[in-house]
Amino acid sequence: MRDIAWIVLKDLRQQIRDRTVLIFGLIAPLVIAAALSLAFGSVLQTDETVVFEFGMSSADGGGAISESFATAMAGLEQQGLMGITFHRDRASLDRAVENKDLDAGFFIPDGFSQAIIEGSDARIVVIANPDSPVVAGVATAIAEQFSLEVASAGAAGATVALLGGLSPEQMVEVGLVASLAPPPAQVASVEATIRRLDGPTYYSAGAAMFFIMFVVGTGVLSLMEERKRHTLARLLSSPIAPGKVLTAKYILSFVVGVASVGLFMLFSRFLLGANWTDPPVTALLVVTATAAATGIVTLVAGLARTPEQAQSFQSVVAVTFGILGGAFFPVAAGNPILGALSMATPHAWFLRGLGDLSGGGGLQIVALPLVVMTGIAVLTLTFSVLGARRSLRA
Amino acid sequence: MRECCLDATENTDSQATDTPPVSALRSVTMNPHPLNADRCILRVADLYKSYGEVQALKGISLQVAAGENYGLLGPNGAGKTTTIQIIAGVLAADGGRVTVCGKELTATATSVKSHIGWVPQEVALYDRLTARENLAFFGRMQGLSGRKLSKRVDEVLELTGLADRAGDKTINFSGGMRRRLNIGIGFLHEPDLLILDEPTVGVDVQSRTSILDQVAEMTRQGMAVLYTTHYIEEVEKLCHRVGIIDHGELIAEGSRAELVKMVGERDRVLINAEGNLPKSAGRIAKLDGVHQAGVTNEGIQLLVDDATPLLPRIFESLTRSELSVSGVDVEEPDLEAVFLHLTGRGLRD
Repeated sequence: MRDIAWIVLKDLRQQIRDRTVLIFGLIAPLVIAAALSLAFGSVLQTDETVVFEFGMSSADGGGAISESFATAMAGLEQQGLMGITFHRDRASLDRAVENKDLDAGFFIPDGFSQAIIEGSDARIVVIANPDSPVVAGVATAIAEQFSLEVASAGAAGATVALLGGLSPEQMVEVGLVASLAPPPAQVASVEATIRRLDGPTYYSAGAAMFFIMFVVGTGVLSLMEERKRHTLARLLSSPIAPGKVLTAKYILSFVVGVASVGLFMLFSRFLLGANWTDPPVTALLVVTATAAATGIVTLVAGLARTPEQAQSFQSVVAVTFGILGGAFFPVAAGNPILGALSMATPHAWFLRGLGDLSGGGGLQIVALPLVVMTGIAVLTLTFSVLGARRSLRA
Repeated sequence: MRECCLDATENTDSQATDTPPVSALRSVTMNPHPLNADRCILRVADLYKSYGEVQALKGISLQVAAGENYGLLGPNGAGKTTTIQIIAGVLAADGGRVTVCGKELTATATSVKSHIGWVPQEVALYDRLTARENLAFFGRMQGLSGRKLSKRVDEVLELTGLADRAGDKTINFSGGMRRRLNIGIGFLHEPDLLILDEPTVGVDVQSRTSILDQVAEMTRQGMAVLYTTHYIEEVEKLCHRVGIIDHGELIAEGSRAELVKMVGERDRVLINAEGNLPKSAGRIAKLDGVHQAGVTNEGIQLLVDDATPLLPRIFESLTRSELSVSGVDVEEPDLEAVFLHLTGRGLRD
């Protein structure tokens, strides 16, 4: 153990002198937290919910389905989720969107309801400014959701029609009533969402995980630097096992990683207003996430032949895992494939752990994320040790 | 150990005991030192190593006794560094055996490495650490600690002439200073076997003299030294025995006198010239009395029976070849001549 400690101390001393530790350990966390604060601070720290203003105009002339859409919109407005204004025609709606009086608009064309009842093509027109892709996305999602509900309503109505002999129009109406009523399952879903992190904490945690993937490359890069400078061969000519050299490098990565992320989280507490509940359990999540990140980066960067190549590999892994794991935005939400892929990243488990912890429950509630991240660490470190030992022997 | 030593003496055909004292060689830096042939420190048997299709070592065997300086001489790419790295335990051999102080060197046996001090060809230092910190770190890796470590660090700083720069980061050192520290780290833990891989490459004359003096001192203190170089004058100054390696094979071994004897009473003619050297060398090689003709970086090198009567015919041949000749030297046989005799090539082709 003393040999390992001496190697770690030597590396730390070198990295303090060449300012690597200072940059990764202190300046980078501070700069990233400050940059996030400047960029999103006012948005993230506000308690106000952003409410989009939508408009609607219908040329369908009292069609049952277009009326249902208007009712649904009004319902959403009542819940405070959006604002809705009704316009007499398409031109008025277009003007309001163009003048930015509205964020987006929905136009129901003539014969919309009839077309649906007859089973032919019918579309809701979404009008949005091209420079507001987020709003356009939200409006499109609302229209698509309504289309899905109408389709399922058709199926439900058809079932009832088989039993009671309804007309096509009655059939769709019955279905719509059934589909627009909130099912009891949604209550649980909404409650689960509330257990998620607030904006500042979510983005701080995501940034911490993204940042950590760069920091934990310290050890493997140091190993490659030693190889390049021939000091690794000199170390291996000493009476110490190659495994000890590798262990020292992992410990170096881990120590620098935990310290950097710890500092980042501290800075984000004050600069971004991130809310780190239950500090001891949060610290445990940081430790296991750092261990997992160290394993992944060491495994991937260890495949490189030069320090420069290792840094490239590290960047690719950091960005890919960052996106998949939801470090920037919850990309996996609503996409089962991305959702499954994200579960292979420590980012997703770290965020999930923090989210679960935010609702209380202590260590018990984060047991699964802790176990999974530890598993990732053990698995990746084992493979990286095997790979590195083979290359050291060669 | 005794058994190992007896074997060594038998296998080397009593060469170690017959080796003349250093003063008998053309050495200016080394004092006579009785060889301790009874104590075989390094024993290498049948080493093989390949890099893909290229066979770097083809069954190298050698032994070095305590207090003996063994020179491994060969051109670049002959297999010297590969041999050295396997003995130092940083490269795995494909076949063969290395024993140091009676202990076999294997991938898992690390304790045997404490008997070895290795000075790599490349300067292997931590730039951001001071000379003292570099020595202390590698000393700890070799198992030194406490007062013994401090004492040895001070001694090595004195020996390498770096005591007054001990607290400076090595990034600020000159090439010569870095080389000296590189060597100092190799013998810091007072190993039984010191391996030096071309330690004077790219070093100024002053540092080179200092390095050679250090190595001579180590040998005098009883270390077994394995020294690789392609500088013949270094081998002739320092080494009690020499192994000549070429294309991964040890093609000759013995004291300088024994090796030179292989060439006989022949002269070496060095022609500094420019032009179509291989063609001219081939033409001269056909002359009566010329035994070998090889091309070197500087020109053509010949091994001849008696240079004086041959020179006119050699000049005639050179004139016909339209070479641009800038100088001709005739020398007594030396290790360069031995290499030429054995391989038909110069050491620094």
